[in-house]
Amino acid sequence: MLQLNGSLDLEHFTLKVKLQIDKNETVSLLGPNGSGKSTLLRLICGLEKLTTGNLRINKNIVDSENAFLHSRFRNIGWVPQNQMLFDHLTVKQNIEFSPNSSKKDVSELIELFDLEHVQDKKAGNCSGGESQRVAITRAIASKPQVLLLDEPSTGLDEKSKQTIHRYLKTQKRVATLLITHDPLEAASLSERLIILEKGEITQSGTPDEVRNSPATPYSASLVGLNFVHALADGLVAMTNKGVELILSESIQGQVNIVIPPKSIALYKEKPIGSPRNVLKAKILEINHVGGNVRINLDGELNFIAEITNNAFKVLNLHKGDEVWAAFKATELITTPT
Amino acid sequence: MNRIPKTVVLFATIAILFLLSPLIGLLQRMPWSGLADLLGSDVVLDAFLLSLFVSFSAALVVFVFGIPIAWFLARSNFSFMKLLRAVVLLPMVLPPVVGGTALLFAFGRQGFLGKWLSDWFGLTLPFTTAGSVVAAVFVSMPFFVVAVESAFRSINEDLEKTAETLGASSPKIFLRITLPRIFPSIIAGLALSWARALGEFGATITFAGNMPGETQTLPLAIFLALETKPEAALALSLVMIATSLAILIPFRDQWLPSR
Repeated sequence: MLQLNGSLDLEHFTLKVKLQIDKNETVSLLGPNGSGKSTLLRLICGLEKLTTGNLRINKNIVDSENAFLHSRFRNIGWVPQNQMLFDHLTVKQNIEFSPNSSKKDVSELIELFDLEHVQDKKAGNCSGGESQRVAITRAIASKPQVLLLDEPSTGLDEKSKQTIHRYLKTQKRVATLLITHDPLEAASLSERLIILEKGEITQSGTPDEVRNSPATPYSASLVGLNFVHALADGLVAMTNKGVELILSESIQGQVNIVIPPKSIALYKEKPIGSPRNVLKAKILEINHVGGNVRINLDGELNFIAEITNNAFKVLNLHKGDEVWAAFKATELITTPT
Repeated sequence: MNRIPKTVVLFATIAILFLLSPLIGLLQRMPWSGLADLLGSDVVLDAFLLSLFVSFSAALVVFVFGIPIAWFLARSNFSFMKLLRAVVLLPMVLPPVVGGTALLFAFGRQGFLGKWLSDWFGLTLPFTTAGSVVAAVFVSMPFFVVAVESAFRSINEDLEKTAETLGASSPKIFLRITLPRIFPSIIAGLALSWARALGEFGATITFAGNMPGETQTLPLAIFLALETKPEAALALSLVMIATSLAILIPFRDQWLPSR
């Protein structure tokens, strides 16, 4: 079990994190680039020292104001983003590098991660997918109490990705923290998501919770939703850009409003006579996604609309066109902050 | 194979010819017929053996102390680092005779270290074989340190840190991760600093003198012979060139960091 409640001063912001990962639990860490995700892993490894607060592994304090356990003794399996394989050693020598590894585990893991055919190859000559599998296997072979994975499947071939995912789904014995940019990966591998932005946790919850009520524009963008922050007064909410949105239920104070892209209808002429929110916007970008078309709009609000291919053809839309976007008040998801 | 631009080839050829010309001059004047007698003389043999002893002893000392200095320079980060690096590299640019003079002031009988060495240990360095080694170490150390420091710098520290998180001890990390990666630079740096020690003249003659059998290494013997017996100087030069090539070709080139 991993318990962290502390902060670390960085160049541009302070990393301030409170989190707990139980044994048997996998938590995904998501966030924009430069939000401090990798630094958080280094902190847990013992490559950075907390400025305030403390870090516990299995109830033992490993980092606090007056204690610091060297990374060598923390028993953490760290898989850094660029793998850091020992290129001059063979795959097998990499995997059995840890003094905690046992011959039996090493050969089992080599088989599990489909590395038999490359085990005597120099790690420096491995492909990207092989390297990542070696890095993860090496970390697991050290029998860690906490496993830290920094974007383990970014840029990997499908087969390597599947091998890694299969392992992470089935072997849930250690507290695992996984950095990813892929919300689908996060949802399929972990019980809980943590969103880190500029060093602070802006949301934490199950994948469903994050999907249903994203707390920030970033969380919303992860699940492909539009997100607006506004001040509500009864049935009307005013965004910080001065746009009025009509709500379906009366509410007071600061609110987060999520507008599902599929609830937005587009028109070339201003629709009249309907009790809906209608906003003027310009088409920034058009992306075809499956049978639908996602359209990035800019205007009074920045948002994405998703319409069917048929509707797109009928409307005959092009980049740069002015359109009217309409959505019903009942489609909005409003949560007080 | 890459095509090398013609201008580059031209300039490189000129430079190579320039570097070769003294060697050609030397070989042209070489007294080939009497060479066997000249090389067989005691003076030449003594100087040759002494040169080997001094240069290899110096290389050993440089190896033992150079790696920690290189490590420190590459990995430490305190405010006087630039100054410290300059001090370590100073012997590289200093005229060797200045170095020899400075050594004399430090390790001479009246020098602050020499006095202490002599009072406490009865040890005298100036005008002894040990003094020749000290002079050679002084001038050749920077060549080794520069090579190894850049090798240390080229290692991503996260590599060693990853090994740490796996529970490996510091000696294990050094021996299995760091050393294999800096090994080619260690060998290349050793070859360079050994060659510098072999050719050392100025600091040695100032600090250790020119005593046959004790401090008269090949360069010193050549210098002395030049005034009295030029053909002997030529023969000695041939020995030096042959010795240098015999070490440099297999070591320096073999272990140059590969492309």
